[in-house]
Amino acid sequence: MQKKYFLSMKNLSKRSRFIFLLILLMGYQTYGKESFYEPKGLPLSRDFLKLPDNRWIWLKKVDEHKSKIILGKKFRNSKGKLINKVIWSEENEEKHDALWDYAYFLKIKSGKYFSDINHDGRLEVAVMPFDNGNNMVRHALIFTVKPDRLELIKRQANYPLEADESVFK
Amino acid sequence: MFLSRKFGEIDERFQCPALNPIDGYGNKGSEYDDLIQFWLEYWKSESVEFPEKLDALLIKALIAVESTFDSKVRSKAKGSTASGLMQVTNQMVRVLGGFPNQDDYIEQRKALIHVKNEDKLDPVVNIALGVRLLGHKYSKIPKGNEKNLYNTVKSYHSWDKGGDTYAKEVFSKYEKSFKKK
Repeated sequence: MQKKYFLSMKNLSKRSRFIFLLILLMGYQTYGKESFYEPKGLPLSRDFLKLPDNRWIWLKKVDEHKSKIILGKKFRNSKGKLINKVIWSEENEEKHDALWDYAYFLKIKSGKYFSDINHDGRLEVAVMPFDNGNNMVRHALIFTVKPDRLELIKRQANYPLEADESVFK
Repeated sequence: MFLSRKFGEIDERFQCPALNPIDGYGNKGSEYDDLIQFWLEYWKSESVEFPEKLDALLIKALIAVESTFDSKVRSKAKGSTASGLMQVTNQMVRVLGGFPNQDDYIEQRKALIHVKNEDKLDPVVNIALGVRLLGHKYSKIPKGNEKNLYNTVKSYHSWDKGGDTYAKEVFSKYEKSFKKK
């Protein structure tokens, strides 16, 4: 009787291992199915940019139709601790003839995300505000990075979003 | 192609009146009249909200502007994935499938639709996606703007001056075709 009991317990542990593996496999298959249908979209997560002078720009989604441009700087305080400080920020909703549901960085020149394109000693960055509409040829916004803020200097027309190329050659 | 097969069966039982021809296109696109009406009714039955005045003829006019009723057409823009009757892009398929965008933000969580990229060229799938997208865009009209048909069509294209031009073109075709009734 005791032997029988131990045998059935052994079988039970074997069975539970089998059931666990089966559940794992089913879960994996379900996950696989969904990712199978997941197409590659626009690089909307490309929303953070480090500049060479310890400054950074973050295009943060703050609401359904709002994105915030945040200019910050990383520096060491008197105790030698690294601190991030926000220099300037601006919330955008319907601005520069675009709806800012999302905003992401574009390559401004030959694979670079920042460049001094107008040779004024300041860096420029290219930003694409996007409303998830079906039109994939839009205006790229070119901002110059001033010491205390970002300023729009140009709207570059006919940028094909899905090609994801540099705005300027 | 589970979707086409599945709804192809329903489609045979689904009888609907012929829509007016779109002005300037002759009888082109009449083969899609049933599909347009079917998907509009289907998504409504799935509790997707649409503008009150949206009718199947306007969707037909939108298809005329997007693809001139060529179901195999692909956008000429560099790198573009816009294809089929309603020129649905991969980014839109992501949204309609409930996949995350920036910072894992998911735009849509109900009445999801999962399709393969190559299936976008199937008129059944393409119209299903396009009509669902119209409903989605209606739900996403920014606050402070009227929730109406015009803004839905504008939003389908882009929320900018280009979107206005597009919506006017669709409405112009729709009104001319509507008068023929």
